[in-house]
Amino acid sequence: MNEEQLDDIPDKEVSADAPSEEELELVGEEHESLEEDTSEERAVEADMSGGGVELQSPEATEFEDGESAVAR
Amino acid sequence: MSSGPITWMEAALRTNNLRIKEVKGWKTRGRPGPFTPRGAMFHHTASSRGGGNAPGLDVCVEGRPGINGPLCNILVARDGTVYLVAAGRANHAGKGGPWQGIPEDSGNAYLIGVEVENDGVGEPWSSELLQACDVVFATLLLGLRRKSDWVCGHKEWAPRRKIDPARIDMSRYRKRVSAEMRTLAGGVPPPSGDEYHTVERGDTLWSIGQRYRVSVDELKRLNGLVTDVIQIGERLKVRG
Repeated sequence: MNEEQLDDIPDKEVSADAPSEEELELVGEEHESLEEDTSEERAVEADMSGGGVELQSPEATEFEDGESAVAR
Repeated sequence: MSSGPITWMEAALRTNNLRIKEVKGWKTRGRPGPFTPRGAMFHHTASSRGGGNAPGLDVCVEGRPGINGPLCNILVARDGTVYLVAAGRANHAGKGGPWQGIPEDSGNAYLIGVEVENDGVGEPWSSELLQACDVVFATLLLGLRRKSDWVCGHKEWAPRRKIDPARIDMSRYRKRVSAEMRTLAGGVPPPSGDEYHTVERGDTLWSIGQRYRVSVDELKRLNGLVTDVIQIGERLKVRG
């Protein structure tokens, strides 16, 4: 496989007084002991990213606010 | 810790100033099987860049021949509009892993699926679209009480067969999400006055606290709770 070309995504600035992730007391990389998913659809996936799936602007999708379709 | 349908994401995402469209039935849409999210997965749809704003939406909701929908929980359109597709488990991760302690082939059970409209073959990631994605992932992880480490690219989950999100350096991207999380968590002061939240399925004191930027202890104090147990339909004061 060829080496992937990466876009130059700009970094974001953060205010000096914004809390760090540690100060937010968030769970990091420490691994939990998670149970394996043994359900029937455990390995099913969309498989859209490789292309080959016909995608068209939706015409019939309904929304909770009563609108339909998507602004193009 | 948050588990079950992620109905809390709607209020959280709206709080963070995203354009939200709720696909009818999203709160109850999901595949059978366990769903206890620990993080979120970044995908691209591979839709043609000339194909419109959200050409992947129908397929994400309904699925396609042989694969049942929903195929993601959230779809981010080219203009940054965020479509809420499903609060329950989605068929998006597939074979892969293990990753961050999530067992092999178990991504659908532990990761929220976020599809983003991009053709994957060179379409630039606009600053508007990336900003919307940053806020989506930051909001989800804050709601899950997880660090930015828990944004997974599909190509990290299945590196031998996946390229999405194409052209995105995930290590660098996680730093953007981290910055967004810190900004969201430390930024806007809470509004004054009493405010209430009606408990929905899947809510926890953690997720409610994150949504309204109030600690679990403060929620308990405001509502005279002595345990973390809350009931669907219960009206909780979240500010006042």
